[in-house]
Amino acid sequence: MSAHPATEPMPFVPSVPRSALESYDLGGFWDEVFERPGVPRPHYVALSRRLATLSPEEVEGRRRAADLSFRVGGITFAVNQGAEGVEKIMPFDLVPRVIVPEEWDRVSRGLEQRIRALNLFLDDVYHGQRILRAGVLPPELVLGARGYRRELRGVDVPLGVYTHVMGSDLVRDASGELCVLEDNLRTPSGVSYVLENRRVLERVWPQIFHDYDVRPVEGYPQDLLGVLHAIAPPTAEEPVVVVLTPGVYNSAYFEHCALAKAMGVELVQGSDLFVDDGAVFMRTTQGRRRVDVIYRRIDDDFLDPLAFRSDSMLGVPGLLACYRLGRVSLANSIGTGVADDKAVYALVPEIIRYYLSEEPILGNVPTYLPVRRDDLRYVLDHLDELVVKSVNESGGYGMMIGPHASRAEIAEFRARIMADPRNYVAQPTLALSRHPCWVEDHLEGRHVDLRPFVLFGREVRITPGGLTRVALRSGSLVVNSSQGGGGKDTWVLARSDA
Amino acid sequence: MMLCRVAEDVLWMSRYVERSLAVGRLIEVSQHLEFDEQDDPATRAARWAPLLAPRPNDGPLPSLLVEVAEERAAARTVRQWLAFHKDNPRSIVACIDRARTAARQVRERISSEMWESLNSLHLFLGNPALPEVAERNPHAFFQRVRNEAQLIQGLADATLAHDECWHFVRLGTFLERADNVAHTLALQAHLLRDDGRNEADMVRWISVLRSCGAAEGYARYYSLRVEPARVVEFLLLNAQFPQSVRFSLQQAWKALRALSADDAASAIPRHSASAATRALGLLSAQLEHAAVDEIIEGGLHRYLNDVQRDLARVTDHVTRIYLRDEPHEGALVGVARATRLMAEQQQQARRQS
Repeated sequence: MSAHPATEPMPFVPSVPRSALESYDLGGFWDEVFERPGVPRPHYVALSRRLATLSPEEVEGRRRAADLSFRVGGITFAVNQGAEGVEKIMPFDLVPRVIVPEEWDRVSRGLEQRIRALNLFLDDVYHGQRILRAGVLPPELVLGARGYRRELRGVDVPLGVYTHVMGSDLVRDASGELCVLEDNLRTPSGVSYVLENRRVLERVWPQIFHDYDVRPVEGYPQDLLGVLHAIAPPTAEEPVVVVLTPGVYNSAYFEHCALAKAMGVELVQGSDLFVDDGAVFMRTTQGRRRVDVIYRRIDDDFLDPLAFRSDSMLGVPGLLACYRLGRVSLANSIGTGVADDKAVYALVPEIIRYYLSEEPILGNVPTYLPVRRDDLRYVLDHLDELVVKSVNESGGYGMMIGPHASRAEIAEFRARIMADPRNYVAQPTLALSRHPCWVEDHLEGRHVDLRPFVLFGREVRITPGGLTRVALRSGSLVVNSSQGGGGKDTWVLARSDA
Repeated sequence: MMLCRVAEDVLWMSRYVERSLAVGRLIEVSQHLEFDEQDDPATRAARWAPLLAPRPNDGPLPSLLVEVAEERAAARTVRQWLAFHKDNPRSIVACIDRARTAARQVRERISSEMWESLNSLHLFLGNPALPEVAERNPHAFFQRVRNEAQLIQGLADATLAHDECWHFVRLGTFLERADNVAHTLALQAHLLRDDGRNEADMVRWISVLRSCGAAEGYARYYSLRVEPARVVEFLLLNAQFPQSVRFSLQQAWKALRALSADDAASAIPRHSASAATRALGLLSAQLEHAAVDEIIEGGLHRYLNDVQRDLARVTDHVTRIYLRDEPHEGALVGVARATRLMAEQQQQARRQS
């Protein structure tokens, strides 16, 4: 008797092939697959040919196998619903997104440039503050950011690197160029879905890989461990690395487990750690054991109840002190939130120019800062066209999409912006590109973005591709998994002649 | 080296899986008895009431117990309570639920194969139509649950490195098994008092063997001559059979000894580490040198109670020694010292800027 009777492939009953792409409508959006109606881009020719001949039964069978694979694997996230967490699987769309090497090359050069500049910025902000003295960035914008931690002033972090893991969100603008929508420099999540989506697609639909030479993604945990070793305090000969999780009720708990397991390190909770004599230890069955590097998936606010929120039960009292003394290393560093503040984001092109004397390779989405008087007037006059975001929220919360908002919502955001202009940014509503996704028995366009994962220790390493998130509801622009978004496997091709 | 929290969850995950096996066998065997015995209310109550007998720490008695005692509850209700009811902390569903919760806390430590089989068993048991299915085809249901639970145990042996984590799995399995077999035997101890070896009693003793998964094993040792004293001897004192109390204690002791061998290598000497090993070793040795006739003469029920009490003590020792590394007094001083150093640094930084 098998442990997974239901994961065996469903018997595929062939039916009369009817093209699932027959009535595919580009809807006036930039489509990832089709250049024009019926004409796929060169790198999608083989894939769309395969898609056109699939029977709905086959697709349904493979989709069920994929869902089961996620469910049995417990690859779930908790949705915030009060104290009771509900485990959900992230909907997975079988059709992979394909990226050509030339485009990936530009993206990875752009991301490397960005992470280097942002780290120089962080180092500067927490030391000499040259950029503020030079008048490139308004001091009140930077020092007033919620993510700015004055406790870090004058602290030298290992290798001068603050953001060891970055997960920037990329979207296509109207011309089809990929540009950065936001940087996630604190505790970006989603990389486990990059790994799992690939694993599951290979398992339930191996044939689809035959036409393409796809670059592997599975090196990520190894690369991450390499970074964590690289930042260990110099006194640690064989550094002990741990992953610090808030616990099973966190929406990314699965990811914390998966990464700890893949790296072969302990997954700890705050209560497993304690500070003694300026060092961090974990409680083990063999007594205390020194910890050198903490890959923490807990926000700054909850990291150390002595330094930050005193009501935090998730953190470790005294951790900040050990970090400042260089006795323990943290990834990412404390205080990186100042660099992914949505208002500071608007000025990243300036930051790149200032520190690297280079032009940004990846563009930004035009962003209005109501804290500037001209921008404020423009934003208030165009609320029904703009996307307004609170600078401190993520996960698709605290935002308003003007064209989809009711009058009451617009009025509410107008009042909020006027009360606290520093707390908001506004961007034109983007026509995110679309990608075909299975909807019942055929393919329909759905909006997508891309979150590549960038590692930075001694050098910058970028896992090919990243997480393609899909807004599964028809017409929706919100791709966050907490808001009904799904995911796709993302392929970066090894050669351009596929 | 393992985190205390992780070791505790691994131990309990393993105990709950073993417990679900014991509960499943008991239900199945009791149900089987229904076919063999005539079904007057008194027999029925006698059959099910022991299964509902509360165990230490189980909380208040279910009203169901009263109903059974008063011969009002249908056998079906009792079965559902034992197998599926969420309010019954020992139901199969509750056991697997707890095992899965524990496993989820430590899934980076156990093998993916173990986690996936436990998770799929949990998903299988979550089907709301299942009580109905189990009632219609109990054999298929209990067999499947048993197979999957045993698969998890087998996977632990086959997919985990036989290191500390595995020793905690083994420790949990065998402490729980010794406790369950002792409990099952204690439930039937009163039968020994009746000298009359009637047919109904024989059926019961066979069912005791079955509910410990030991009927075939017994037959190999003693042929099919079912004698109560031999049944007790086999389940309590046999050195080779994996479901016997003695065997389980030996395995648990081996696991514990392996764990304390690691103590010797650890940086901090732990003087109390031997307490658990010693308590379990004494108990194990006692069974090793026991004779079944003397045990029965001295009162089987009392003897088994003592075994269960000693087992509970071993669990307490293990918990205290391995699973609760309380912060020692110096820790807060350490925090204070680090905070002071930090304040000095901050002042320095402020002076510089």
